[in-house]
Amino acid sequence: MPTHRIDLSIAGLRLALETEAPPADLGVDERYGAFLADGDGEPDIRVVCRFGEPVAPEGKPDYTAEDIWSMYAGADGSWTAVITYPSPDDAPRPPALLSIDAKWRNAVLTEKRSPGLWQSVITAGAAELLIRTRLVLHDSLVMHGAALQVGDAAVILTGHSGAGKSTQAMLWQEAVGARPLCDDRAAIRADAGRRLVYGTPWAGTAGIAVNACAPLAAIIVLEQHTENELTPLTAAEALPMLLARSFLPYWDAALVGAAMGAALNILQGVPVYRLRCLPEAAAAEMVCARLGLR
Amino acid sequence: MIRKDGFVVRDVGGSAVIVPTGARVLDLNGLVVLNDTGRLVWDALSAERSEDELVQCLTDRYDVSPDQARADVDELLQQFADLGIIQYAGQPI
Repeated sequence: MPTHRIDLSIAGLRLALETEAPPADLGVDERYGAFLADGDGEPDIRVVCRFGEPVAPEGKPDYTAEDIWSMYAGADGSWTAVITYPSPDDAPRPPALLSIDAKWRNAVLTEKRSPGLWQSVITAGAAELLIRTRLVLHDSLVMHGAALQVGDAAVILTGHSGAGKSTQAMLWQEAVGARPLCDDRAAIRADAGRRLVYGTPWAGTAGIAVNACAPLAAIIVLEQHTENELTPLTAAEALPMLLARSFLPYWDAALVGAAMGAALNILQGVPVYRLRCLPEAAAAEMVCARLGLR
Repeated sequence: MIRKDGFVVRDVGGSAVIVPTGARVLDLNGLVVLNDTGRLVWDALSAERSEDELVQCLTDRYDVSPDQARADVDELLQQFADLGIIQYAGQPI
Protein backbone atom coordinates (compact mmCIF):
# COMPACT_ATOMS: atom_id res chain seq x y z
CA MET A 1 0.00 0.00 0.00
CA PRO A 2 1.36 3.44 -0.88
CA THR A 3 2.35 5.33 2.26
CA HIS A 4 3.85 8.46 0.75
CA ARG A 5 2.42 11.08 -1.53
CA ILE A 6 4.77 13.28 -3.53
CA ASP A 7 3.28 16.13 -5.54
CA LEU A 8 4.92 17.87 -8.46
CA SER A 9 3.67 21.10 -9.98
CA ILE A 10 4.84 21.38 -13.58
CA ALA A 11 3.44 23.85 -16.11
CA GLY A 12 0.48 24.40 -13.81
CA LEU A 13 -0.43 20.70 -13.68
CA ARG A 14 -0.32 18.79 -10.41
CA LEU A 15 1.10 15.27 -10.61
CA ALA A 16 0.72 13.17 -7.46
CA LEU A 17 2.95 10.15 -6.90
CA GLU A 18 1.65 7.56 -4.46
CA THR A 19 4.46 5.29 -3.36
CA GLU A 20 5.59 3.05 -0.57
CA ALA A 21 9.16 4.34 -0.92
CA PRO A 22 10.41 7.47 0.85
CA PRO A 23 10.74 10.35 -1.64
CA ALA A 24 14.53 10.39 -1.38
CA ASP A 25 14.66 6.76 -2.54
CA LEU A 26 13.00 7.65 -5.82
CA GLY A 27 15.47 10.44 -6.57
CA VAL A 28 12.59 12.86 -6.98
CA ASP A 29 13.97 15.56 -4.66
CA GLU A 30 17.19 15.76 -6.59
CA ARG A 31 15.59 15.84 -10.01
CA TYR A 32 12.47 17.90 -9.37
CA GLY A 33 13.38 20.01 -6.34
CA ALA A 34 11.98 23.32 -7.61
CA PHE A 35 8.86 21.58 -8.85
CA LEU A 36 7.82 19.84 -5.62
CA ALA A 37 4.49 21.04 -4.27
CA ASP A 38 2.54 20.49 -1.07
CA GLY A 39 0.31 17.45 -1.17
CA ASP A 40 -3.11 18.88 -0.46
CA GLY A 41 -4.51 19.72 -3.88
CA GLU A 42 -6.57 17.59 -6.23
CA PRO A 43 -4.11 16.10 -8.71
CA ASP A 44 -4.47 16.42 -12.48
CA ILE A 45 -2.51 13.20 -12.83
CA ARG A 46 -2.31 10.45 -10.20
CA VAL A 47 0.48 7.89 -10.43
CA VAL A 48 0.53 4.82 -8.23
CA CYS A 49 4.11 3.55 -8.04
CA ARG A 50 4.52 -0.18 -7.55
CA PHE A 51 7.65 -2.22 -7.15
CA GLY A 52 7.67 -5.57 -8.86
CA GLU A 53 8.56 -7.39 -11.99
CA PRO A 54 7.13 -5.53 -14.98
CA VAL A 55 5.45 -7.72 -17.58
CA ALA A 56 5.52 -6.07 -20.99
CA PRO A 57 2.51 -6.42 -23.30
CA GLU A 58 2.83 -9.05 -25.99
CA GLY A 59 3.15 -8.25 -29.64
CA LYS A 60 4.55 -5.35 -31.58
CA PRO A 61 4.36 -1.85 -30.10
CA ASP A 62 2.21 0.76 -31.81
CA TYR A 63 4.99 3.31 -31.56
CA THR A 64 8.62 3.32 -30.48
CA ALA A 65 10.62 6.41 -29.57
CA GLU A 66 14.32 5.87 -30.27
CA ASP A 67 14.52 2.64 -28.27
CA ILE A 68 13.83 4.61 -25.07
CA TRP A 69 10.17 3.81 -24.74
CA SER A 70 7.47 2.00 -26.69
CA MET A 71 3.71 2.50 -26.60
CA TYR A 72 1.14 -0.28 -26.71
CA ALA A 73 -2.53 0.56 -27.29
CA GLY A 74 -5.11 -0.91 -24.95
CA ALA A 75 -8.58 -1.95 -25.99
CA ASP A 76 -10.31 0.88 -24.11
CA GLY A 77 -8.23 3.85 -25.23
CA SER A 78 -5.65 3.22 -22.53
CA TRP A 79 -1.93 3.01 -23.23
CA THR A 80 1.00 1.12 -21.80
CA ALA A 81 4.48 2.59 -22.12
CA VAL A 82 7.47 0.28 -21.78
CA ILE A 83 10.31 2.53 -20.66
CA THR A 84 13.94 1.52 -20.88
CA TYR A 85 15.92 4.58 -19.84
CA PRO A 86 19.51 3.93 -18.79
CA SER A 87 20.21 4.13 -15.08
CA PRO A 88 22.42 6.91 -13.64
CA ASP A 89 25.38 4.53 -13.28
CA ASP A 90 24.84 3.07 -16.77
CA ALA A 91 24.10 -0.32 -15.25
CA PRO A 92 21.57 -2.41 -17.17
CA ARG A 93 18.09 -1.75 -15.89
CA PRO A 94 14.97 -3.78 -16.60
CA PRO A 95 12.22 -1.91 -18.40
CA ALA A 96 9.53 -0.16 -16.39
CA LEU A 97 5.85 -0.25 -17.25
CA LEU A 98 3.62 2.81 -17.20
CA SER A 99 -0.09 2.06 -17.68
CA ILE A 100 -2.20 5.12 -18.43
CA ASP A 101 -5.95 5.53 -18.76
CA ALA A 102 -7.53 7.09 -21.87
CA LYS A 103 -7.83 10.53 -20.27
CA TRP A 104 -4.24 10.59 -19.00
CA ARG A 105 -5.50 11.15 -15.45
CA ASN A 106 -4.54 7.91 -13.73
CA ALA A 107 -1.41 5.87 -14.20
CA VAL A 108 0.28 2.89 -12.58
CA LEU A 109 4.06 2.68 -12.73
CA THR A 110 5.56 -0.76 -12.18
CA GLU A 111 9.31 -0.97 -11.91
CA LYS A 112 11.92 -3.13 -10.27
CA ARG A 113 14.26 -1.51 -7.79
CA SER A 114 17.87 -2.19 -8.60
CA PRO A 115 20.89 -2.10 -6.32
CA GLY A 116 23.33 0.78 -6.73
CA LEU A 117 22.48 4.23 -7.98
CA TRP A 118 18.84 3.47 -8.56
CA GLN A 119 16.37 6.18 -9.49
CA SER A 120 12.76 5.74 -10.42
CA VAL A 121 11.95 6.29 -14.11
CA ILE A 122 9.51 8.89 -12.85
CA THR A 123 12.62 11.08 -12.75
CA ALA A 124 13.82 9.96 -16.18
CA GLY A 125 11.05 10.43 -18.65
CA ALA A 126 7.89 8.95 -17.16
CA ALA A 127 6.73 12.21 -15.55
CA GLU A 128 7.62 14.15 -18.69
CA LEU A 129 5.64 11.74 -20.84
CA LEU A 130 2.61 12.10 -18.56
CA ILE A 131 2.78 15.89 -18.21
CA ARG A 132 3.41 16.78 -21.81
CA THR A 133 0.69 14.43 -23.05
CA ARG A 134 -1.84 15.68 -20.53
CA LEU A 135 -0.97 19.26 -21.54
CA VAL A 136 -2.13 18.48 -25.07
CA LEU A 137 -5.57 17.77 -23.63
CA HIS A 138 -5.43 21.28 -22.12
CA ASP A 139 -4.86 22.94 -25.52
CA SER A 140 -1.17 23.25 -24.65
CA LEU A 141 2.22 22.03 -25.90
CA VAL A 142 5.80 21.43 -24.81
CA MET A 143 8.37 22.57 -27.37
CA HIS A 144 12.13 22.64 -27.79
CA GLY A 145 13.37 26.08 -26.94
CA ALA A 146 14.80 28.42 -24.32
CA ALA A 147 12.25 30.61 -22.55
CA LEU A 148 13.41 34.04 -21.40
CA GLN A 149 11.41 36.51 -19.37
CA VAL A 150 11.91 40.21 -20.13
CA GLY A 151 9.89 42.44 -17.83
CA ASP A 152 6.36 41.09 -17.54
CA ALA A 153 6.45 38.93 -20.68
CA ALA A 154 8.59 36.16 -22.15
CA VAL A 155 9.82 34.86 -25.48
CA ILE A 156 10.84 31.41 -26.61
CA LEU A 157 14.04 31.16 -28.64
CA THR A 158 14.07 28.09 -30.81
CA GLY A 159 15.89 26.84 -33.89
CA HIS A 160 17.84 23.97 -35.30
CA SER A 161 20.77 22.59 -33.36
CA GLY A 162 23.64 25.03 -33.87
CA ALA A 163 21.38 28.00 -34.65
CA GLY A 164 22.76 29.89 -31.65
CA LYS A 165 20.03 29.31 -29.07
CA SER A 166 22.41 29.02 -26.09
CA THR A 167 24.54 31.95 -27.24
CA GLN A 168 21.53 34.19 -27.77
CA ALA A 169 20.05 33.15 -24.41
CA MET A 170 23.23 34.33 -22.68
CA LEU A 171 23.33 37.54 -24.70
CA TRP A 172 19.71 38.29 -23.79
CA GLN A 173 20.57 37.96 -20.12
CA GLU A 174 23.51 40.34 -20.44
CA ALA A 175 22.02 42.84 -22.89
CA VAL A 176 18.42 43.22 -21.75
CA GLY A 177 18.45 41.60 -18.30
CA ALA A 178 16.38 38.63 -19.40
CA ARG A 179 15.55 36.00 -16.78
CA PRO A 180 15.90 32.46 -18.14
CA LEU A 181 13.01 30.09 -17.32
CA CYS A 182 14.39 27.05 -19.13
CA ASP A 183 17.11 26.27 -21.64
CA ASP A 184 15.68 23.31 -23.54
CA ARG A 185 11.97 22.54 -23.14
CA ALA A 186 9.29 25.16 -22.65
CA ALA A 187 5.62 24.49 -21.93
CA ILE A 188 3.08 26.76 -23.61
CA ARG A 189 -0.26 26.75 -21.79
CA ALA A 190 -3.62 28.19 -22.68
CA ASP A 191 -4.83 30.47 -19.89
CA ALA A 192 -8.09 32.43 -20.23
CA GLY A 193 -7.52 33.33 -23.86
CA ARG A 194 -3.82 34.09 -23.54
CA ARG A 195 -0.74 31.86 -23.64
CA LEU A 196 1.67 31.42 -20.77
CA VAL A 197 5.14 29.95 -21.09
CA TYR A 198 6.42 27.85 -18.21
CA GLY A 199 9.89 26.69 -17.36
CA THR A 200 10.05 22.89 -17.03
CA PRO A 201 12.33 20.53 -15.08
CA TRP A 202 13.69 19.06 -18.31
CA ALA A 203 16.77 21.22 -18.62
CA GLY A 204 19.42 21.22 -21.31
CA THR A 205 23.15 21.64 -21.02
CA ALA A 206 22.88 24.95 -19.14
CA GLY A 207 20.78 23.19 -16.46
CA ILE A 208 18.15 25.94 -16.28
CA ALA A 209 14.80 24.78 -14.90
CA VAL A 210 12.80 27.51 -13.19
CA ASN A 211 9.30 26.82 -11.88
CA ALA A 212 7.74 30.08 -13.06
CA CYS A 213 5.70 31.40 -15.96
CA ALA A 214 5.04 34.59 -17.91
CA PRO A 215 2.72 35.63 -20.76
CA LEU A 216 4.25 34.51 -24.06
CA ALA A 217 4.95 37.56 -26.24
CA ALA A 218 6.56 35.79 -29.21
CA ILE A 219 8.26 32.68 -30.50
CA ILE A 220 11.54 33.46 -32.24
CA VAL A 221 13.15 31.06 -34.69
CA LEU A 222 16.89 31.67 -34.78
CA GLU A 223 19.18 31.45 -37.78
CA GLN A 224 22.79 32.52 -37.90
CA HIS A 225 23.40 35.33 -40.38
CA THR A 226 25.74 38.19 -41.23
CA GLU A 227 23.35 40.90 -40.03
CA ASN A 228 20.34 41.17 -37.72
CA GLU A 229 16.89 40.82 -39.31
CA LEU A 230 13.55 40.14 -37.64
CA THR A 231 10.81 38.91 -39.99
CA PRO A 232 7.26 37.91 -38.99
CA LEU A 233 6.15 34.48 -40.22
CA THR A 234 2.67 33.70 -41.50
CA ALA A 235 0.67 30.99 -39.74
CA ALA A 236 1.28 28.71 -42.74
CA GLU A 237 5.02 29.24 -42.36
CA ALA A 238 4.98 29.00 -38.57
CA LEU A 239 2.84 25.86 -38.10
CA PRO A 240 5.31 23.35 -39.59
CA MET A 241 8.10 25.03 -37.62
CA LEU A 242 6.15 24.85 -34.38
CA LEU A 243 5.08 21.23 -34.89
CA ALA A 244 8.59 20.14 -35.86
CA ARG A 245 9.93 21.58 -32.60
CA SER A 246 7.14 20.29 -30.36
CA PHE A 247 6.86 16.99 -28.54
CA LEU A 248 3.93 15.39 -30.32
CA PRO A 249 2.09 12.28 -29.03
CA TYR A 250 2.78 10.39 -32.24
CA TRP A 251 1.41 7.12 -30.90
CA ASP A 252 -2.20 8.36 -30.87
CA ALA A 253 -3.82 9.99 -33.93
CA ALA A 254 -6.50 11.70 -31.81
CA LEU A 255 -3.85 13.21 -29.55
CA VAL A 256 -1.80 14.33 -32.55
CA GLY A 257 -4.94 16.05 -33.86
CA ALA A 258 -5.39 17.76 -30.49
CA ALA A 259 -1.73 18.84 -30.50
CA MET A 260 -2.07 20.29 -33.99
CA GLY A 261 -5.18 22.15 -32.81
CA ALA A 262 -3.23 23.50 -29.84
CA ALA A 263 -0.46 24.67 -32.18
CA LEU A 264 -2.97 26.45 -34.41
CA ASN A 265 -4.55 28.12 -31.39
CA ILE A 266 -1.13 29.25 -30.16
CA LEU A 267 -0.46 30.82 -33.56
CA GLN A 268 -3.71 32.80 -33.35
CA GLY A 269 -2.47 34.67 -30.30
CA VAL A 270 1.32 34.50 -30.36
CA PRO A 271 3.39 36.00 -33.20
CA VAL A 272 6.26 33.93 -34.59
CA TYR A 273 9.34 35.64 -36.03
CA ARG A 274 12.43 34.47 -37.85
CA LEU A 275 15.48 36.16 -36.34
CA ARG A 276 18.52 35.99 -38.60
CA CYS A 277 21.28 37.36 -36.46
CA LEU A 278 24.86 37.70 -35.42
CA PRO A 279 25.96 36.47 -31.98
CA GLU A 280 25.87 39.97 -30.52
CA ALA A 281 23.88 41.93 -27.95
CA ALA A 282 22.47 44.23 -30.63
CA ALA A 283 20.23 41.40 -31.86
CA ALA A 284 18.55 41.06 -28.45
CA GLU A 285 18.22 44.83 -28.12
CA MET A 286 16.67 45.11 -31.59
CA VAL A 287 14.11 42.36 -30.89
CA CYS A 288 13.10 43.81 -27.51
CA ALA A 289 12.67 47.26 -29.05
CA ARG A 290 10.56 45.86 -31.90
CA LEU A 291 8.37 43.79 -29.56
CA GLY A 292 8.13 46.49 -26.89
CA LEU A 293 9.71 44.25 -24.24
CA ARG A 294 11.15 46.10 -21.25
CA MET B 1 -3.17 4.03 -55.73
CA ILE B 2 -4.45 5.07 -52.31
CA ARG B 3 -3.04 7.07 -49.42
CA LYS B 4 -1.78 5.13 -46.41
CA ASP B 5 -3.68 5.52 -43.18
CA GLY B 6 -2.15 6.86 -39.97
CA PHE B 7 -1.72 10.52 -40.93
CA VAL B 8 -3.37 13.58 -39.40
CA VAL B 9 -4.01 16.67 -41.55
CA ARG B 10 -4.76 20.26 -40.53
CA ASP B 11 -5.34 23.29 -42.78
CA VAL B 12 -3.61 26.60 -42.17
CA GLY B 13 -3.57 29.71 -44.36
CA GLY B 14 -4.00 28.01 -47.73
CA SER B 15 -1.71 25.10 -46.87
CA ALA B 16 -2.27 21.73 -45.28
CA VAL B 17 0.14 20.06 -42.88
CA ILE B 18 0.36 16.26 -42.65
CA VAL B 19 1.80 14.63 -39.53
CA PRO B 20 2.42 10.88 -39.26
CA THR B 21 1.25 8.83 -36.28
CA GLY B 22 2.15 5.43 -34.84
CA ALA B 23 4.21 3.20 -37.10
CA ARG B 24 3.93 5.78 -39.92
CA VAL B 25 6.51 7.89 -38.10
CA LEU B 26 9.05 5.35 -39.35
CA ASP B 27 7.89 5.98 -42.95
CA LEU B 28 7.73 9.75 -42.71
CA ASN B 29 10.24 11.18 -40.27
CA GLY B 30 8.95 14.74 -40.21
CA LEU B 31 5.91 16.39 -41.69
CA VAL B 32 4.60 17.39 -45.10
CA VAL B 33 3.18 20.74 -46.20
CA LEU B 34 0.74 20.64 -49.12
CA ASN B 35 -0.61 23.43 -51.30
CA ASP B 36 -4.21 23.47 -52.56
CA THR B 37 -3.49 21.06 -55.41
CA GLY B 38 -1.65 18.68 -53.14
CA ARG B 39 -4.51 18.77 -50.64
CA LEU B 40 -7.05 18.04 -53.38
CA VAL B 41 -5.09 15.00 -54.59
CA TRP B 42 -4.45 13.82 -50.99
CA ASP B 43 -8.19 14.01 -50.25
CA ALA B 44 -9.03 12.15 -53.46
CA LEU B 45 -6.60 9.40 -52.47
CA SER B 46 -8.74 8.49 -49.47
CA ALA B 47 -10.09 5.84 -51.87
CA GLU B 48 -8.33 3.81 -54.53
CA ARG B 49 -7.79 6.09 -57.58
CA SER B 50 -6.28 5.76 -61.01
CA GLU B 51 -4.04 8.48 -62.36
CA ASP B 52 -6.75 9.39 -64.87
CA GLU B 53 -9.23 9.92 -62.04
CA LEU B 54 -6.81 12.23 -60.24
CA VAL B 55 -6.25 14.22 -63.45
CA GLN B 56 -10.04 14.52 -63.73
CA CYS B 57 -10.19 15.87 -60.16
CA LEU B 58 -7.80 18.66 -61.06
CA THR B 59 -9.44 19.61 -64.35
CA ASP B 60 -12.86 19.62 -62.62
CA ARG B 61 -11.63 21.97 -59.91
CA TYR B 62 -9.14 24.22 -61.70
CA ASP B 63 -8.96 25.97 -65.05
CA VAL B 64 -6.09 23.80 -66.21
CA SER B 65 -5.40 21.76 -69.36
CA PRO B 66 -5.44 17.96 -69.10
CA ASP B 67 -1.76 17.89 -70.03
CA GLN B 68 -0.83 20.33 -67.28
CA ALA B 69 -3.05 18.49 -64.78
CA ARG B 70 -1.36 15.19 -65.68
CA ALA B 71 2.07 16.73 -65.23
CA ASP B 72 1.02 18.08 -61.82
CA VAL B 73 -0.44 14.72 -60.77
CA ASP B 74 2.68 12.86 -61.91
CA GLU B 75 4.90 15.20 -59.91
CA LEU B 76 2.72 14.96 -56.80
CA LEU B 77 2.47 11.17 -56.96
CA GLN B 78 6.23 10.90 -57.31
CA GLN B 79 6.67 13.11 -54.25
CA PHE B 80 4.06 11.14 -52.28
CA ALA B 81 5.71 7.86 -53.28
CA ASP B 82 9.17 9.17 -52.31
CA LEU B 83 7.74 10.22 -48.93
CA GLY B 84 6.16 6.78 -48.48
CA ILE B 85 2.69 8.16 -47.81
CA ILE B 86 0.80 6.41 -50.63
CA GLN B 87 0.71 2.87 -51.82
CA TYR B 88 0.01 1.30 -55.18
CA ALA B 89 -2.35 -1.63 -55.73
CA GLY B 90 -0.68 -4.88 -54.68
CA GLN B 91 2.03 -3.08 -52.72
CA PRO B 92 2.44 -4.16 -49.09
CA ILE B 93 1.06 -1.63 -46.59
